[in-house]
Amino acid sequence: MLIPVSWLKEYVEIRLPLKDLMWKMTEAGLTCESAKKAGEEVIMDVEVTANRPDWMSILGVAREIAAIQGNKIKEPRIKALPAQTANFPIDLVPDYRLFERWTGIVLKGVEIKPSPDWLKARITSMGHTPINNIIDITNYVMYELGIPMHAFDYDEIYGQVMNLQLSGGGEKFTSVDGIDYLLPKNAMIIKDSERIIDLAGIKGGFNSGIKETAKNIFLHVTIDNPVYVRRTSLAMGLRSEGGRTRAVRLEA
Amino acid sequence: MQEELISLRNEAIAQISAAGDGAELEEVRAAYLGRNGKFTILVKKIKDVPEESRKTFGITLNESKIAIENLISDKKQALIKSLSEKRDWFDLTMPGLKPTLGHIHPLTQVLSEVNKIFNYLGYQVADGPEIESDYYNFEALNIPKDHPSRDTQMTFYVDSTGTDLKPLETILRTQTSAMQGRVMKLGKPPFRVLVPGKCFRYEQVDASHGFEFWQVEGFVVDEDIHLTDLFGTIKYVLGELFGKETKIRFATTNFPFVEPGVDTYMQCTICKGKGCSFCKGTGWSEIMPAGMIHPNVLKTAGIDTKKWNGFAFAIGLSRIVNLRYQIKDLRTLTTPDMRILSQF
Repeated sequence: MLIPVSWLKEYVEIRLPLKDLMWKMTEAGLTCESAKKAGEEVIMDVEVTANRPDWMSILGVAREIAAIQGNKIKEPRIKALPAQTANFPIDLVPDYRLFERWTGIVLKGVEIKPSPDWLKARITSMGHTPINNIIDITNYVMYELGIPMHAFDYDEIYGQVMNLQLSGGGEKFTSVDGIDYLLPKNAMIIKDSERIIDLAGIKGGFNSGIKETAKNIFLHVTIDNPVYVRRTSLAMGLRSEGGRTRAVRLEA
Repeated sequence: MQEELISLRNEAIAQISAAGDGAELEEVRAAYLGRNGKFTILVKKIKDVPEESRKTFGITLNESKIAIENLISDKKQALIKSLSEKRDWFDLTMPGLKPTLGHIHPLTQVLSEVNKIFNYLGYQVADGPEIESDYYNFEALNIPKDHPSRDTQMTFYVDSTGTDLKPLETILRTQTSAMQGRVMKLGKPPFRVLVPGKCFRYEQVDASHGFEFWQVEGFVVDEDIHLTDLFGTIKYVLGELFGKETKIRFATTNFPFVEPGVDTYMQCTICKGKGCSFCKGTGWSEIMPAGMIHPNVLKTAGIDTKKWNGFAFAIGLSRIVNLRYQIKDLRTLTTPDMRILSQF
C-alpha cells in the first residue's frame, strides 16, 4: 500500500528520521521496506497483513506511527451534516448476514466534473487513476480513513429501492469498468426494482455508476461480510481495491 | 524418379564399401543421410512424383534408406574390429579410464549441516508427505477455510476427478509446518522436531522465487518455553551457519499458527549490509520466520495448553544456500547444468 508522507503528516507529527521510522514500523509488524521519492514527495510502500486491516488507510498507519513514537494523532475534523432540505426517498432492504451495517445519504444537485489538481495528485499518488470528482472523493475518503464507500447515480436506482441479496448464479452483470461478467452463485448483489446495480463489496454496476450526466447521488457505507466478498472475488478471479479492503474485517 | 533413386542407392553402397576409416564413413553418412544429404533432399522432392507412382516411390525410398543405414552400421562394426586387430601391443599396466565422480548438491550439503546443528540441540528429524491434505496444511494450523492469510500462500490443488478424494482437499503442501499436526498426534510432549522438505507455491518464477522450494521447519513443545528460548535458538543456529559475528534483528510478523509471530532479519552477506538487488537495497535479508505456537494449534493436536507451550520456526534452505555461496539467482540451484554442480 502506498503511503505518501505529506498526507501522513496531516494526521501525525513524524519525529523519527525516515530510515529509522521504516525499521520501527517493520519491527511493529507494518513492514516498510522501500520508500520512493516522487518530486517533492516521499512515498512509503507498506505491507498490510491479514490480521491488521486497521492499517489499510492513511489514518490507520498514522495511528500506528503515533503508537510507535508515543505521540497522538490529529483527529480528522468532520463538520456537522447540513440539514435535510428535500425529500429524496430510498428504501434499503437489508440482510444482516450480508451487510452488518448499512448507512447512506442522498445528495441532490451535484455537478460532475474533473477533480481539482490537488485531489488528482493525491489519487495518483495512491496508485489510482482520477475519474471524476464524485468517484475520486469516495476513493479518497476510503483510502484516507479506511471506510468502505460507494456512490450511485440516484436516478438510476429504479423504484428507489435497493434489495440486498445473494445471486443464484449465471446472472449477467456489467461492471462500472464496462466489463461483462456472469455471476457465480452466492455473490452479494444489490438489485433495484428491475436490475442488478451493484456487485456488493467488489465492483459497482455500469448502469448505476456516476457518469457526467448524474445530477443526484446516493452515497453509502457498508460493513460487508468478508467471507462472501472473498469467495465471490476468488470465484470470479476479480480482485479490486474495494474487495481487498472488505475481505478482511474492518473495524467500523 | 525411380531410376534416380536406384542409381543413388547403388552409388551410396559403393561409397560405404570404399570407406577406409570411421571418419570417411561418417562423411559418407552425412552426404547421403545428413540434413542436406542426397536422400533427404530426395524425400522433399516426393511431391514432384506423379500420383500413381508416389506410393511405390515412397516404399522404395524407405527401403533404400533402411538398407543404407544397416550397411553403414555393419561397416562401422567391421572397421572397429579391423582396427582392434591391427594393434599389436597394448600396455596393460596403464591406469584405466577414471569414472566421473558425482557432486553433492549445495542444498543437500546445507541440509546435512542444518541437521547436524539441530541434532546437537536434541532435535529429531521427521519426514512427511509432499502431497498433503488441506486439513494438516491449513486447518490444523489455525487457518480455517476462507481465511485471507491463505492468499499469501498460493496453493496447488490436486485434480481429484476420477478418484474418490474430496475435491479441493488434497494439495501440494505450501509449508512443512503441515507436519506439526501429524507429529504431535504420534506421541506425547515434550517434542523437539525438525522437518526438512520440499514445498510448493504458485508463484511467478524470478531471481528470488520459484514454485518449488526447500524449507526446514522445526518446533519445540515443552513445559515453560519462553520467547527468549526461541531467540536464543535462532541466534545460535544462524551463528553456526553463517559465523558468530553475524548480525541479526527481529520484527513482528503475522502467521495464524504462531502468536506472537516474528521474522528474523540477517545482514545480507552478498552486499554486507550496503544494499543490493537480493536484499532489495535494505542491506538485510529475511531468513527465519518463527513464533510461539498458537494455543489453537496445540489444542487441535490434543495437547493441554495449561501445561505445555512451545515455539516453531522455519528456515528457507534455498535462501541459506544463496546467502552462503552468494548466488544471486535462485534458479541456478534448479538448473541441471554440470558446470554449476561441479563447482561444489
